[in-house]
Amino acid sequence: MSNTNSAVPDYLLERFLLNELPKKKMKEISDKVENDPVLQAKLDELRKSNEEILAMFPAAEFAAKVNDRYKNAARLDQIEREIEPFDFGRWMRKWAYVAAPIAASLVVVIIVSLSNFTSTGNTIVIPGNSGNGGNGVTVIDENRIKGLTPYLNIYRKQGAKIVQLAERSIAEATDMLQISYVASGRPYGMIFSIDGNGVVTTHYPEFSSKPTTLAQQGETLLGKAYMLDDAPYFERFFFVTSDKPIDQDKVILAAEKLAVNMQIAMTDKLVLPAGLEQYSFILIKEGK
Amino acid sequence: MQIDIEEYYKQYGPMVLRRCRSILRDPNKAMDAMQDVFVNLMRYRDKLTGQYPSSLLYRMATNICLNILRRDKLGPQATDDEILQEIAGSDDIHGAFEARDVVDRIFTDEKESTKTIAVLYHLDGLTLDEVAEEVGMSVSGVRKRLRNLREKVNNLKEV
Repeated sequence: MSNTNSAVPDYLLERFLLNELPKKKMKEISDKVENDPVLQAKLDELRKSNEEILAMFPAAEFAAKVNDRYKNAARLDQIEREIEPFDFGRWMRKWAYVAAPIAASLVVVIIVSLSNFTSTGNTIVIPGNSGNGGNGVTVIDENRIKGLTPYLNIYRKQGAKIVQLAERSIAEATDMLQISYVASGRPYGMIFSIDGNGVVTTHYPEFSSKPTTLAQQGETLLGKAYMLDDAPYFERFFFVTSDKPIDQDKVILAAEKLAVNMQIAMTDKLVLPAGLEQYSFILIKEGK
Repeated sequence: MQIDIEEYYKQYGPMVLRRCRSILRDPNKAMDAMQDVFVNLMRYRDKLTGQYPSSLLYRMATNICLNILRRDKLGPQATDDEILQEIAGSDDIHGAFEARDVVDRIFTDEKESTKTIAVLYHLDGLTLDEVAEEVGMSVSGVRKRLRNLREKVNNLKEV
């Protein structure tokens, strides 16, 4: 570190090399460099480092990666702009006539739950009104708050708006859904859903020939939106993650086993090989 | 404003990567951070007005890396910044958490430019004159900001 006029901080040396300093500063550093073999060597090192970095990470490859990430970020930005904020006041007014008994019940439920709550990572879910399309209140465990648990977000296009769905939201055939995931450090993962007809649909990777590698930067949207079909009762999404590459066939087999029985498919966990974690998110189908 | 990422990368990528490496000291994280810098460059390209992209990119790299350190709950391992090191240089994780809290408290309610001043002076080693030139303030203004920041640190340390 410098803070004196005798040395040149890296910040200025980098910009000197790029010829991006005001003229006066360029001249000042140029004079110093001329008389200082250490600075000359440092500049030579930077030039050499430039070549090494550009050789190691070719520009075209880098630009392609940045473009992919930019597209993802731009879509997230758009969703954030369009997302309908939850209007708590409006919700309270709408449900005022049942609010008092519900509130009283919740106090009891929360007290009982908290008294039994342990540090095993429980999630307390207080379901919203199933006819209201996603006003559920979810109190998430500490792990989730710290962002350590992988999870999914599901968005629905509603006219001009995009709405983030809560678990147990009502959905219907032709709803256009956008799935995103947060890997929370897990390098590998699969996303698929089971519907009320017992059909397993893979969402990520789209094909089993593709790797299960997850993007690590925050929330990542899947490449394509997904239109719900007319399967009855529910669509349950699973996010299976791991620290090691996943044997996709084994996971799909576990999903198909679970999908055989509709009741179990709505509630039970997948029976997975050791080392795999799972997260699920269920949507209830309208009119069934 | 259109940005040709390939050209920008060829021109500024190595500088950005070196900056990220110097703060994060992890080649993979540094590579990831460099991509974030260029993604942000594209996201906010309409707001780019500066004469020297290197100045902006260097600052963006610094901010992104500091955010990564915060996100990962690590201290600024590679810095010799006397303020940050003094309070965040703890080796143990518990200490790092506490230090992070202190750093957050220091910069709460501070202008973004104060953070930039602190980074340029303490982390990058610029002189007061150079910092003043960078942020478009008088030397006495920069000195005052740094003095206030130091008082804040001292007060927090005493608590």
